[in-house]
This record gives sequence, C-alpha cells and structure tokens, in this order.
Amino acid sequence: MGAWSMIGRRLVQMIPILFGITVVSFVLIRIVPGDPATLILGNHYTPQGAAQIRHSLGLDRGIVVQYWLFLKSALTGSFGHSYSLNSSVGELILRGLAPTLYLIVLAGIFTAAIAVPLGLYAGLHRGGVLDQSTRVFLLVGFALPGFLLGVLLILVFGVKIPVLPINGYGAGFGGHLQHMVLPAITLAVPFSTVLVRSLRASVIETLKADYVTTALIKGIRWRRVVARHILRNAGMSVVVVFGVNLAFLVGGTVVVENVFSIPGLGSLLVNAVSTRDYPVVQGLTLLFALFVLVVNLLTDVVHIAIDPRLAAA
Amino acid sequence: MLVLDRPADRIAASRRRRLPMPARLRGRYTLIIGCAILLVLIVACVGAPLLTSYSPTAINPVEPLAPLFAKGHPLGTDEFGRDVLSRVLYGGRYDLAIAFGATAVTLVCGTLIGLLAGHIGGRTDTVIMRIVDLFFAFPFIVLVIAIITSLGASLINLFIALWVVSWVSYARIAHGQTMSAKGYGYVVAARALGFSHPRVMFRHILPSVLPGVIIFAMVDAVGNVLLGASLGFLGVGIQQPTPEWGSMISEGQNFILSNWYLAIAPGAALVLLGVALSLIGDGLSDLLRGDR
Amino acid sequence: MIAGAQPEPGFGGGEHSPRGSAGAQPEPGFGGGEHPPPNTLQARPVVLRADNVTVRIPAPGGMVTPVDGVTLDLRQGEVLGIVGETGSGKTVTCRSLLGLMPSPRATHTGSVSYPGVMDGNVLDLGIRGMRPYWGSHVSMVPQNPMTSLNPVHRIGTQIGEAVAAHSPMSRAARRARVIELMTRVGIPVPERRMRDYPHQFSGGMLQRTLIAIALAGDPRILVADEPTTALDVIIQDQILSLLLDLQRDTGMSLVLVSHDLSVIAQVCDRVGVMYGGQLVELSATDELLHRPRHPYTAALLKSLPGAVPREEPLTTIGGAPPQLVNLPATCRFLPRCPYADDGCAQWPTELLVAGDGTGRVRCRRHAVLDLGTTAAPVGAAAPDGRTALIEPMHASTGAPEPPKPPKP
Repeated sequence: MGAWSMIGRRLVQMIPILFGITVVSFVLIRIVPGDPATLILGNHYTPQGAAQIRHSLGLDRGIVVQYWLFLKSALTGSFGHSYSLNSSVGELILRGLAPTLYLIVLAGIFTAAIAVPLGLYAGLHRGGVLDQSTRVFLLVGFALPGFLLGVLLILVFGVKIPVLPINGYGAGFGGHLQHMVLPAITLAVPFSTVLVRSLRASVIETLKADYVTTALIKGIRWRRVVARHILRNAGMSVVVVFGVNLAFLVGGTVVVENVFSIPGLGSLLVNAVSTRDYPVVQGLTLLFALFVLVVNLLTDVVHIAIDPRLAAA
Repeated sequence: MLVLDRPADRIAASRRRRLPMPARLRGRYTLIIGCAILLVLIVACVGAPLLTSYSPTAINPVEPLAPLFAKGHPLGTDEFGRDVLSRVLYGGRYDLAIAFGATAVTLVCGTLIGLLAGHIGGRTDTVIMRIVDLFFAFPFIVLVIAIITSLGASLINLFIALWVVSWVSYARIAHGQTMSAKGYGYVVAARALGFSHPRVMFRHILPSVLPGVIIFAMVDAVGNVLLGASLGFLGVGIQQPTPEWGSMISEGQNFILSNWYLAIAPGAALVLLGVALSLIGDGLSDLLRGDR
Repeated sequence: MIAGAQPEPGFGGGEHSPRGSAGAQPEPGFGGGEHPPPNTLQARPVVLRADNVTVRIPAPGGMVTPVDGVTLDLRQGEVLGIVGETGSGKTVTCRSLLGLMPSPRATHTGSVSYPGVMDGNVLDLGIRGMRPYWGSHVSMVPQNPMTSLNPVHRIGTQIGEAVAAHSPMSRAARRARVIELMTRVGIPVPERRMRDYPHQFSGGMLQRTLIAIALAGDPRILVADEPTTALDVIIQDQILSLLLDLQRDTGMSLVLVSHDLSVIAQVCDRVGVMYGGQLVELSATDELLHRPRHPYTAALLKSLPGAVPREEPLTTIGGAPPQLVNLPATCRFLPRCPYADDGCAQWPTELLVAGDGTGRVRCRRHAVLDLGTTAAPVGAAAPDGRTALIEPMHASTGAPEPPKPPKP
C-alpha cells in the first residue's frame, strides 16, 4: 500500500539522521577546552585520579576507537559509566525514564485539551470576546517561562489551596498521576500557545475553503460541518506543527522537573552538568534526540493516516 | 478581482459580532505598544545607575529580606540584603543582551546560510539542510546545556551555545522561502538576464525571504530570553553573584511563601520583555503579511 | 407576505411594474406565438424572489458594492441565465440567493425569500436558520469543482452526508441512494468509485459529484455558479447538458450563471445581464437577443462571434468596466455609453419596465433607443453550416419584432 511504502521511506530517511545524532552527541562532550579530568577533579586533583578518569572516559584512545566504543555502549544500552553516581548511565536513564514519559504524555494530553477548544473557538469566532482573550493568553502564555508558571502554581495549589502535591513523583499509578498534574500544566501552557496560534490560523483558512461551503449547503448540522470539515482539515496542519515543536515540549521537561523535584531525565541532566558527568550528558543528549525522532516518525504516520493525499503521492 | 470571487465565507451577515480590526491598523497599534514597552525596559536597564543608588551585588547583612515598599527599597531586599529593584534593573541587562545579541547573530548567519543553500542547490543544499534537520532532532535546551557543560558556564559560552544551536531555524525558513522565490517570474527573469549571483540573491530573492525571518526573529528572541533565564534558573547559565532574572527567580523560589516578590519581580520583568517582543512580532506579522 | 400558490406577475418591489394583469393570463405579445405557451412560464408559481438586494463590503479604498439593487424572481421549472463580465457581481448575487455573504464584514439591504416556503428574509437567517432550506429547497453547484470537495473524505461519504442531511436513513438505504445519484449524474461504476477520494477524480467527475450532492435533497431551486468555467472545453458541454437534463426531469428551477452569453442563450428561458453589480436588463431570451434594450446588452451582443455576420468585424466596447469601489449613484455604463445624453448624468438608476411588461431594463432612454434592429438575426449567423454559437433553445423565426412605441 501507498501508506506503508511512505512510512518505509521515512524510516530509511531516518538512518543518516540517526548516525548524525550519535556523532553530535559524541563530539559535544569532546569540545571541552583543556583537560576534562582536571576540570572534573577540581581541588581533588591527583595525577593518578586524572589518569583513571581519562581511562574511564576513553580519552587515552584514538578518536575513532572512542566513537566506536560510544556506539557499542549505546547499542548495549549502558551508555558508559557515570563516575559521580557510580553507576551505569543506562541504569540511571532507565530509572528516570518513567517520570519523564509520564510528564510528557500527560502534558501532551493537557496541551490538546487546552489548544483544540481554544484554537477552534477563537478561529470560528474571530474578533469575538473569547478570541480577544485568547490573544492575551497567547501573548502572556508564550512569554511566561515554564519555571515561573511552576513557581506560581506551587504558590497557589501547594500553599493557598493545597489540593495537589507540589513535588516529587509519588507512588503507584494514581500517585504518579496526581504528582504530575501541576508539572504537566506548567509544560502544557506555553506549548499550547504555539498550537492554539496555528490551529486558529488554520481554522480561519479552512473556513474560507470551498468545501466548507459545499458541506454547509448540504444542509447538515453546523456541528457536523465543524467537526468533519473544519476541525478535521485544520487539524492536519496542526499535527505537523505539533511534530515540529515537540522538541520544545521535551526540552521543557528539563526545567519543569527541576521546579517540581521530579526524579526524571531532566533532573538527571542538570545534576550531571554541575558534576561534569560527561557520559551522562552524552547519553541523555542522544536519548532525547532519539525520542524526538521517534515521535516525529509517529507524527508522520498520523499525518499519512489522516490525509489520504499523502499516501497517494 | 478583489475578494469577491474568493471562496465565500459562509456566515450570513445577520450574525452580529464584533469584527476584527483590519490587519494593517491592528499591526500598527500592536507594533507601537510593543516598541514602547521594549523601549521603557531598555531605558530602565541601561539607565539603572540613574534610577537606583544601590549596587546589585552589595551585600547588606543588616537588612535581609526587607518587605515591599521598605524605606529606600521599593521592592525590598533579598536574603543577603541586596536591593531587589537594582538587581532587577541590572539583571535585565543580561537578558536584553541575550535577546538582541544571540538573536541578531543567528538571524544574519542563519538567513545567509539558508539563502545560499537554496540558491546554490544541488549537493551543497542537501548537505546543509540535512545538518539543519539533524539539529532539529535535539531539544534546543538539551543541546545548549550539553555545549555549556563542555565549555563551562559563562555568559560568553551561553552566547556561543545559542549561536551554534539556533541558526538552524533561520536557515530552514530562509531556505524554504528561497526555494519558492526561485520560481517567481522576476527571479527567473533576473537569472535569465545573467545577473551575478549576489545580485540575484540579495536584490531579487532576499526581499521575499526577509519578512518571514524577521517575524520569526521576534519569536526566537522570546525563546532565547526564556532559554537564558531557564539556564540561570537551573544554575547552568550566568553564575552568582551576577544578577540575572532567571537565577533571581530560582533564589526567590525558596522564599515564595514569605517574600513572594523576590521571585515575582524578576518574573514580571521577564514576562514583560517577552510580551513586548511578541507584540512586535505580531505587529510586524500583521503589517508584512496581512490578515491571517 | 405573499402566498406562494398565487402566481405573481412582474417583479417584487418594482414600483414601476404594472400590476394590472393577472399573472395567470397569457401576456399578449410575449415572444409572439413561437414561444412555448406563454402561460407555462408566467403562470407558474414564484419559488424565489429577490427584492432590491444590495451587498456592501468595506475595503481599504472605500465601500465595495458587488451587488447593487438586484431584483428578480424565479419561477418553478424556469431556467434563468445570468451573464456578466468578471467582476460584475454574478457570483455574489447568486450566493446571496442562498443567504451567503462574500465576507463576514459584508452588510446587506433588501431581501430574498422563497415564497410559499419561507416568507421572511433569507439574508437575515444565518446558518442555523438557513439549514432547513439548504439542500432541500435550494442547492448550489460551485464554480470550482477541484476545491469544492473535502480532500480527506471519500466521494461516497460526501454524497451520503448530503443524502442523510434532511432524512435520516439506514446505512444500506443511504448507500443505495448514493449509488443511484452517482449513476444519475453519469459517474461510471459507482460501487467502486464511491470509495475513491477527490484527488482520484477528474475535474468533470468532481463536478458530477457536486451535482449529485446538490441533487441529494431534491431541491426546487438549483443555483449553478459558472459550473463549467473551470473545466476542459469538451467536458463543459457534457456538464451543461447534464444540468439541463436533470432540470427537465425534476422540474426544478435553475439559475445558470455564466460569463458566456452564447451558452446562456442556448439554454435559458430568461436572461439577466449584470454590469457593475447591477442587473441592467432582464427579459425572455429571444427578446433579449433580438431586441436588446440596454446599450450594454446591445454592445455585448455585437461583440459575440457568431452573432455578427462573418464579414463584419466584431465590435469591442470602449473603456473598461467600473471598479466596484465607491460607485456613483448614476448609470454605471454612462462613461462607455454611446447613447447617453445630458439627462443621463442626473438619472438615479432604477429598474424600469420595458416593452410588454415582462422585461426589465435599467436605462432611462430604453424606449427611445433603437438597439435591437442593429444586431444581426441570431441563429442565422452561420451560413457555412457550422452550428451557430447562439442558437436559442426555442427556435425562432429570427425576425426581430418591430419596436414598441414609447411608453406614454
């Protein structure tokens, strides 16, 4: 079928990018000016310690060998060894993966819950009161840094109206969910402004389409026209925008996890930065990119599934 | 033929509702408001020594955590007795520097690269755009953090990280615009007339590339400010005791219950800067692209 | 307001219409005897009435008036043609017949009603109010079939939506009706093609699909807004024949909009000519062709290939059609009119009754001008055996009637 070969082609296109990602992640932590071991050890510098770290980082080998070792460690899922936490990076990632995934999925759901009704309504009633208010929401929501919103939410929900937990990850599925509500909102608000904007513009464009007039003249219900002919078609471009901007959402977890003390990948990354734990930073960079790549592929699949013209092309 | 033969809006005129202002008019208002806010912020931050007599880093153990509107400290003091107002004003210099410094460089470089790639085409184009795709796979903040980890945390390294990472957006936009501009009659004609490459690129293609990248630059400036502040908040960006809005919010977070203004004052300033830049972007978009 | 069963003569709202004669009676002098019994048209009930419809849109340069004081009525089973150049307001006029406005900013005056079905003003109804009439009473065939079907839904689904819009039915019944409609409009192998998406259809097939959608609710009025303009020449003819076949079979009224007078002339009972947003002339086809009363109509006819003897050059109309921005209240054609006199510049235009009382013309000098006789006899213009472009559906003797004496 057209759709499957299309997806296959996307998969093939991913291969060079995949290779590029490993190279970038590898190179990034090798641009350290000076001797990494000296920087890591700081005041605790001893020649023996430095030599040990250099060996553990593989810095005493040739650059190609180093890259090969990095690839091998990535393929086995160990991603090297974290000397500050004295554990395999793979294990650390595995521990932090669940909270981050929870956060991303819940934030994605919240984003849709905010963006679809708001963007659709604002687009349909352009110039109306709600559309004007939406403009304000878009303006402030986009300029509001995630951490500030998080701090405000903590202030309101954690302290004034203490109904939701404000830090940590909780226990059990329900506990996780409860703990993720505020962080997910924090993440969803700025992200949804991007989608509201694009959905609104897309709805306004779609309203002008001839096929909407055709649908209307059939005498079917307005709700049906909106659902099947306006939202459905306007949504296609928003799916693409979602995919393109997903990295923004994933990146946001780094900040939000720190605000709410969630033991996810973002917290792991920030801690690794302060301890200069290069293997952790390297592994996480690669993992985040992989994640974005996979979700982009999923977005493509969704796009192909909802636009019959793509499968035919 | 005007708008009349265009696909009709199906809403009968009887539906009374407030109609949107024409885009040009709205754009002008938005632009003026945005520029006014930005100007006030710039003047306040650059002219900080005239507005406050306190040094942003001078520690005063006698007066820690002074309340709002305390004598001599309209925004109170922080845990070390430093005047919050002067810290916000001086701190804004860094955030403004990021907004303009990081954005201006990537705007110029990214646009040029995208323009060149699109104009030259062929293998060069493919290679450059694959590199751009590659950068897009990484969440920008993760990439920036990784670069700063390697280079070390400092203002100049923050700039370098932002430069390395965010030219790709401009390259992608400029490339797309260039590709479509290549099909326009006047560009085809200019090439057919044998004009030099620079002349075709800058005189004929660039004008249709500029609106898109300039509007995006405003969005990107907001993004850069937020990214810089986020790094400050995470303790990865500009280091203590230099005041910076993001790191001030991070410190203020510990006193959110008793002295909320420690976090909210720099937060409000940050939002104001973001709103001003967004307004300018919206205004330019309305003016340059018309109703959307 | 007006009972639909009562046949109405003349044109709603026209102050100058003589209301003397009862509509049921044959009008003397209406196209002579060669026209199908005149009472068939004049006696039929009015299904749509537009009264002084004006649409205005605010634009940067001033007020655009794409439709200005259009008054017409449409009788059951009638084929009404509307011709005009691009920008003369045809599209906006015919969309307003369905209660559609060209822009959310547009304002309107005047009214459109469907006598006997809906006596209020269609223009005031809005989407919710219009829904019961769309599809079931009035339908539209759009100008551009390529963009008028939703690219993400199957052809069958889109027709099915129209089928089920006013009468809920089982899936099987709906499917059967969709296949029936597709067969009716000439789409081969409907069982298979209903599963296709619009991008798999050709332009002609898409237009057939849109006709099927328009017919799904058995409307009494079909408005076809330049239904063939976007199609290949060969397909144009097929689509036009299809529309006319369907019109004959169902007995619905058809408003056929075109910028091509030769097409209109072949198939319509009456023709309205639009210029600068105004209806400048409206009369029976033969009448219009043989004895145009408005200088613009006359000029239009003289510029048609086939209407002028081959050896004579085609005439063009000097000047350019008016921009629709900030129009003066005087005659739109004035700057280009060779017959204008000093009084024309002061004349606030209105639609006047012409000739025998059925025609309408927006020219103050129509009674004293002698335009018709200057045109070549239509239908006899192709001596080499080619089919004349203009060939009235109802064959006429080709002899123009003597001009009527000026009205007292």
